Parts: sequence; structure tokens; C-alpha cells
Amino acid sequence: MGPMFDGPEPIYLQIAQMIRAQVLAGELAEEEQVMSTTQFATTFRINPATAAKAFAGLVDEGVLYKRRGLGMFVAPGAREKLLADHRARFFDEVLAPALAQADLLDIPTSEVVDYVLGRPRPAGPGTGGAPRTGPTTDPTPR
Amino acid sequence: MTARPASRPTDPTGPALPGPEPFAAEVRDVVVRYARGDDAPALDHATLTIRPGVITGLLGRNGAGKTTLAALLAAFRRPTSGSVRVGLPGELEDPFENVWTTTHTQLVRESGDVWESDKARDTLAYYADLRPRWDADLAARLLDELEVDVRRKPSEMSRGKRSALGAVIGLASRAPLTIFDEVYLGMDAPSRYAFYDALVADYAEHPRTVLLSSHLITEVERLFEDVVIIDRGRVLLAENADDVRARGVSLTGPADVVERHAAGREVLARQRLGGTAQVTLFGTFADDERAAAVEAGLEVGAVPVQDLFVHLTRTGRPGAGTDAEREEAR
Amino acid sequence: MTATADRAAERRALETAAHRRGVRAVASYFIGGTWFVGLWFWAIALVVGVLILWIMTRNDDVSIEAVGGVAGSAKFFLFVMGIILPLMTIAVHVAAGGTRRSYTHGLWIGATVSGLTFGIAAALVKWGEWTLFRRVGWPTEGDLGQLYGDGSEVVLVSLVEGISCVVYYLAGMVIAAGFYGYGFVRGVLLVVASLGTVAVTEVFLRSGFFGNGLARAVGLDGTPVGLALLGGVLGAVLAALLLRAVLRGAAVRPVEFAASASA
Repeated sequence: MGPMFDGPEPIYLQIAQMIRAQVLAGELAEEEQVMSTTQFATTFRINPATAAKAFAGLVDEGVLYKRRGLGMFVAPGAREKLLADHRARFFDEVLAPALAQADLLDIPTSEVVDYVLGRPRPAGPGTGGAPRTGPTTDPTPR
Repeated sequence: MTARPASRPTDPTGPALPGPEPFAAEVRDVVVRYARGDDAPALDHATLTIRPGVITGLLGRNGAGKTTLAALLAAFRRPTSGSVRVGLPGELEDPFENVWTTTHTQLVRESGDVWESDKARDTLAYYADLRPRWDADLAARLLDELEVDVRRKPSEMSRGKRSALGAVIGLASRAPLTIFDEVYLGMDAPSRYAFYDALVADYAEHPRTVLLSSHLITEVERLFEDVVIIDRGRVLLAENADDVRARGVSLTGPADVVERHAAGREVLARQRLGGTAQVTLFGTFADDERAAAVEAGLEVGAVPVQDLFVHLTRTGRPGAGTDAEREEAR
Repeated sequence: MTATADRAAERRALETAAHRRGVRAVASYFIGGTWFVGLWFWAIALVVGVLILWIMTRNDDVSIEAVGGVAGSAKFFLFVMGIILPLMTIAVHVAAGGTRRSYTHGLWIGATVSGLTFGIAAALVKWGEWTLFRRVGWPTEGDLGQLYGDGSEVVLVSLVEGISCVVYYLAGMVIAAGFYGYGFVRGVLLVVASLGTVAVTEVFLRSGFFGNGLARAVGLDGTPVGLALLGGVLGAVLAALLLRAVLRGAAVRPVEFAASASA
């Protein structure tokens, strides 16, 4: 059945984030059709207008585009664009809070650095490097 | 008690008509008193607008006036004073004894208005007779899915099955204004979800205005685009569901940081697990406040409609959630 | 401009069709329901009538009122049906999108058709009894003065009994609608008013015990048959108008009422 959008954010943001995550993970390929608002609404038991709102936001972001009479498709270059967005925000929104937490917990910076350097790195950059953000930690772009 | 002759399934004027666009509705300064001199009227100067083509949640405690409001829109009764108007957007009209609007308005009260001691199919035939856009296929499909045996009399059915019958009537009528007033009563969870699924699917395919009242808020809130909350005959709020959710905010993080940001606000709920706390606050969070909270490492979330509803309609809080109070909470 | 005119015409057509559907649905429910239970009434009435006749023959005191009197009580049966049926149907009708107006018109037709067919049934029973009595040689004159002489006047008996049935049926409906829509006090007042319409018909038609006595009391016992029948219809029209007035603004009761009314 998939996610039930039980997070604290408004549902349309959670839906948008789910689709972004699917694009980032390659589950939704570029030029692939996404579910219609009706399918979305019935699948997840939500108001169709909520799904439409999520889609509208993703169209504005350039992640999706609409083909008249056919439906919504993943925009060419959407994944690259999302990766760039996330990279741009990674230090500010992911790393900075983590380091602040480390300070709070009195973890010396050297230990953090050791951890980072000693961490086994997954395959080449650009394929697995994207953080798999869950819906609840969505850094919502404005 | 009585059987009726098999009724004509369709109107001689032809197949189901395309029908009008979704209806809008407007209630202005409406008072309903069930007894003269009643100082606690069922509706007390209620004013609200129902947007066309939208699923609106109608929330309120028992006796808040939900059922009375529904009865006014469906012309089951007239208001004591004030105006009730229903119809195409921009062409609203008084629905009482108005064939045009009543033909296009379906109210399902609890388990539906049915003939208790006739077979369920007799009741369905009556609705099919009177409803110009009745969808017999949809009715048959839903009855099958909800396991309602139309050869049985409603008086012999369980509450859940009777409610399911009412739900089927509401959906198959395809009325431009469809009101479900607590139709879920007695339905088990699988039946309720089957009803919600059918509602969403049919609504998406045949857009219409839906007003849905329920006490099972967490179950249905995601179906709502708009929410109306009434309490003791007064409309507390009527707005977009996301705006309702934005009337509260939840903060999660280190207890002391959370408390610092919650200071001076109305706290609806407070939970602590070790050093981590979560508070639910009433009142909107301005962008800068939200940014500050995020900056401080807090997780800022929305509040379930259910929590806000409980807060707004808590007993002993006359005028709960008035603008003045919200200002004060800021 | 023409588009607006078309829309208005379309709407009018839809309204007319909806009204007709509503009237037809109510009328057929009432006619069907009345006769469904009515068959039992007639079966029991005949059995009771024959039983009374049998007892009379054993006592050697035979009267044509044996079966005829029971058949003449059809109007009381319809009076009771008039009180019961509306309580169970008005909420369903309105919930199905029907108006009080189409409901009222449906009741008018339902009461008229049911009443007149019951009148014909009563006339046929009386005619059958009259035929039997004549064959056997028993006296065929009734004990009570009637607008008609005896059971041979099938058409007149049908009209008299039919009109009585209609007015009693409508009066029952007025009482039901009164208590349903207006509560106890005004409900009681409407009982009085509805019985007034019944009295008008009874006086003109001089049907049975009450009617005959009343007619004599007000000096209408000599009214010519044609005028008397018109007077009977007048009572039915008054009852019909009263019913319309009562239903016009009636509020549909909460669901708890519907559940208790038909339980």
C-alpha cells in the first residue's frame, strides 16, 4: 500500500516529498508517467485536490511536467536538478544540525572527522551519494 | 409492514441526465429553535459558505448543530430566522419546497432514511425513481462490496449494514450536493474504508459537493479539502483543511529548547521522553518563529485536526478559539 | 439570450418530470400498500360477515347488515391506514429529493384511488349479499337509512362508500401529518378539524349510523342524491386542502423518530 502520509507536515508536502524521493532514487525515471491525481487519491485515500496541489508544486519546481490530455510525467533533468538542490542544502540543513548536536553531546570534532574519514564509502559519486530523506525530514524548498 | 408494487426503474424521460454542476451552499445568520423560547438554539446565528465541488468536513460534538445544519441544506426543515441558500454558484436559492434544488441534494442521515419493514430493494427502487442521476450499476457494485443483502429488511439488518445501505444511497444518487451525516455508525473498519474509497473514487470521477460529518476525525480528515467546525450552534471556523492544521504547531526536540519556544503560548499537549519533549501549541507560527525554531534544532510539525478540534470544542470554554483569544495567545 | 432561455426551459422540464416522479412514487406506494394490507382486510371482513350471518340464521333473525355492515367499515380501516402510512413515508420521500408538494399530490391520488376502489369492493360485496338475500327470500332493506335503497344500486353504493373511504383516508392522513409536523397540541386541534371534514361527508351521504342521525339532526336528510354526492365530495376536498396546509411547511423529524415510528 505504500506510505500513508502520517507525518506532521501537510499531506501535499508529504506527497511531493515522496515523489521527489522516488525520482532521486531512480524509481521514477525521467519521462516516466506518474499516477494521476485520481489514482493517487484513491490509492492513498486522500482528497484529489490535495494530490493536485502536490503535483502543481512539483510542476513549478520543474520536477514534473504536464502533457495535455495524457497526464503528469517526470521532467527531463529532474533528478539532476533535485540532486543539485539537495547538495546545495546538505551542509546547511543536514550537516550543520548534526554538528550542533555533536557539540551538545560533547563529541570532539576530531572524533567526527575520524568517523567521516573511516566510514566506508558507497559506490561512485552521483549514484548513491544522495541522502535518502524520509518524508518527515523534508527540507521543503520555498 | 407493507410491500409496494415493483416500481419503474427508470424515468420515461430517458436515461440519467448529465445534471448540473456541483452546488454551492450558503447559510447566513441562521437561528434554529426547536421549541419556542428555547435559550439554547440548535443553531445560533450561524454563517458559513460551502464551496462547490469540494469535500467539506463538518465537525462538531454531539448536539453542536451539525444535523440541524444538514437538515436545512437538504430542505428537511426551515430555519427559525436567517437565510439558507443552495444551488449553482452565483445562482443560490432557497431550497425549501424547491424541486430543482431538492432533486439535486441528497442527505443521508446516519443509517439513511429507509423503509424499515420493507425489503431494502424497495427503498432503493424509490430512490432510483426519484433521483434523476441514480447510478444503478454503482449501487449494485457497492452493495456487493459492502455485503448488503437487498432482499432483507433494514429492521432485520445490523446497524453497520443499515449504515452501509445509507452510504450506497448517498453515493448512487450522484447529487450535486451530497451530505453524509454520520453515516459510519455501526460500520466496522473494513466497511468504513470501503466507503471512503468509494467516495473518493466516485468523487474524482463525478465531481460534486460533499459535506461529511463524522466523529472519526483522524480517519476522514485527509478526505477534506475544507473543514467546518461548529460548537453549540455557532460556527467556530470554516476554512481550508491545511489552514486548520496550521492553526496549531508541534515542536519536538530537547526539552529545554522546546519549552523556550513554547513559552507564552497555549499548550494543548505536552509529552516527554527522557530529554526529548514534544509540545502541541495552539495558534499559528509566523515564518520567522518557525525559522527560529528550526534554527534551534527543533522539528516543527503540523497538528492533527483531531487535536485542534478537541481543543476548540472543549467544554467550559465558551467562545473557544475566538479571534481575541488567538491574539492573546500570540 | 437563447442559451439562457434554453436553460430555463430545460430546468422547467426537469422540475416537471421530478414532480411527476415524486407524485407517482407516493401514489403507487399508497395504493399498493393499501391494497396489500387491504386484501387481508377484505378476507377477514368477509369471514366475519359470513360468521355473523351464520349466527343470525341460527337465531332466525337475519339482517342484510350482517355482511354489508362489515363491508361498510372499510372506511375505518382506511382511516387507520391513513394514520400509519404517512409516518413511515414522508422522511424517505424528502430524503429522496421529493417535495412536500409532490408528497401531498401523491397522497391525494393515493387516497382517491384507494378509497374509490375500496368503495367499489364494498359495493360488490353488498351487491353479492343482496343477490343472495333475494334468492333465499330474506329481507333486503337495511335497518339504517342510507342514501341508497339497497345493494342493487351498485353504482350509487360504490360512489357513497368510495367517497366516504376517501374522506376517512384523508382525515387519517391529516391527523398523522398534524402530530408529525406540529406536535401534540396542534395535533389534537387537527384531529378535531379532520373529523369536521368527515362529518361534512357523513351528513351529506347519510352513510350508516352516524351519518343518518347527523343528517336528520341538521335537516339534510332530504337532500337529493346528486347534491348529496356533491356534498360528500366537498368533505373530501376540505380534507385534501387541510392535508396540504398541514404538510406544506412540515419539518422532517430527526432519525430517532423514523426509527420509533416504524419499529
